Amino acid sequence: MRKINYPFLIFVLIILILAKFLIKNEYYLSIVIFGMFNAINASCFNILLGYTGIISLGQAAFYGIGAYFAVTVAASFGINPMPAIILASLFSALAAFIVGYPTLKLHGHYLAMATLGFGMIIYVLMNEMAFITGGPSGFLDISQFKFLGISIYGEHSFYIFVAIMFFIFTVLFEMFDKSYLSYKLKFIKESEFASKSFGINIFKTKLIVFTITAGITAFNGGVYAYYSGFISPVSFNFNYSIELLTMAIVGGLGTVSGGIIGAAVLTALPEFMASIEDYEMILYGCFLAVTIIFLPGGLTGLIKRITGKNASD
Amino acid sequence: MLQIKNVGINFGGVKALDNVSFDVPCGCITALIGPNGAGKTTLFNIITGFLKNKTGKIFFENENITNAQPYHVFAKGISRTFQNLNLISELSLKENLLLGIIGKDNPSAVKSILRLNSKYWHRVEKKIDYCMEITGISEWRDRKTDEMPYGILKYLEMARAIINEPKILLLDEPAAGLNNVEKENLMGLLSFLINKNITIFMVEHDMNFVSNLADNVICLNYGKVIANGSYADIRNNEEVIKAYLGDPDA
Repeated sequence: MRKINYPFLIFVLIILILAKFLIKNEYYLSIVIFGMFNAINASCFNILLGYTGIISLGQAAFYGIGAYFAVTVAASFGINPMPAIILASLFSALAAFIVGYPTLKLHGHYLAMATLGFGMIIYVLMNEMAFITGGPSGFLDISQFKFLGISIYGEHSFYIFVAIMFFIFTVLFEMFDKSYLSYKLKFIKESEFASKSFGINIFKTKLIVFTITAGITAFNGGVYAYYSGFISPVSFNFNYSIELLTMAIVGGLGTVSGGIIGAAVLTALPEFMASIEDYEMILYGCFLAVTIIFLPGGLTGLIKRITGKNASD
Repeated sequence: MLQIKNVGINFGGVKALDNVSFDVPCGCITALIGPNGAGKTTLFNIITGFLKNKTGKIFFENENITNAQPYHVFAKGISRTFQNLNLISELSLKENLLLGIIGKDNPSAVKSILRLNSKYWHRVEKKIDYCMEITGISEWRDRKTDEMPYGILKYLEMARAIINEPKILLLDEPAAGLNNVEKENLMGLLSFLINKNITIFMVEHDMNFVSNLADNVICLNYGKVIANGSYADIRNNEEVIKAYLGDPDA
């Protein structure tokens, strides 16, 4: 087993602590919080695409299921937010299992289309089942978030909660990356033929990975719903799945830091470019094109090239 | 040990294998020869569960493994190599060997993530060291596969196939692309494996390699077994000479 990259984890921890003390403006703090939500989702996407070779364009749907399920269950049955979020995570994992069972036998663009179809169906249901979801107007009846009896509200207290959650997931992703499981997934991605002949049950492994990442994405979605205090279907449409895909590719596929760096850059970039108004999308597009064409290992690959490390370390 | 009984498969209108029957005896080297397109790799793919045969049965140690899933076939102790190496370029030679282990042992993912099975991984490291040593690739253990010459990669593939201690090894053109020294070393390695009681069944075009190693040779042509016997018998078989080997005196 490879060694855990402790310098990377310590670096992430220092950045999180510094951000807490240096960023006083609530708006900028909210961008960092959104960046962390995106980073967890992009890392899950990275495990699917970067490690296993599963291209899932339905990740926004799992994020949405987590968000809607958590707040509606909490509102309907009067249960605390955290148990509701855990239930939402389990429900989303079950949905992923049911969707993954027939679709994960597909490959490449067929799989992308199948998961895209699932995402579309969930998006339509979020809009049409107004009696549960509030429809296009969104869901407002979200209670205050409490964890272990402590009320969490406002940017500063939510920052602490989301930062802890983000750091725990980062540690878990790093431990996953250095475990045998990451090798197993990379073998599957590189050659299903060889993996099968060496005893790996490809379908079962893919289904487990798809189910677990959907559960984590939904957990993240549940916390996001309580943080934002309002959710509507537009936050969970196809565009968000594409954003996650872009974050994972720009950050660097098949690396733990890839999802985090991609999410950090692509969450912050539109905010920095907001001042140039009409040219924002042009510059954003140019940045993506340049990164994808000239940096096949993404920004992580570039950083590792500069620091002289191998991209897979 | 491995019994092929009346196996047949069609690809559209083409009979790739037609009523193929023979035995691969335990503790021997059996070679499968024949011209390109004779059905040799197709037969390997059927044995290892990648293709489903239309007719016939396959038995391994008297157990019916016909149309079993590839991971079930592997679990029985059948390991293989490929014409295309199927190695992962971004991983080191040592890391590539893990594929040969994790499918068999299926170690706990949770324990592995939480790093609770260090004793197991210590044993795995020892196995990797041993396999790299006997295949002669130890000095490149931490190098990436895309930095290595083809001959080293062929040995790496061999190491990956034997690391799980198979009962039978299916080798698809093991000597292809190797120079004479590497072929000599490979012969030594295969003899070593036979002494370790691993049965070898190989597809090979290099007749010098086959004649030096094989106890038993089977020749396929157009999906049919046209000869089965020792190399000397095969070399003098009129049908084999006509279809594949050519006349040595011509």
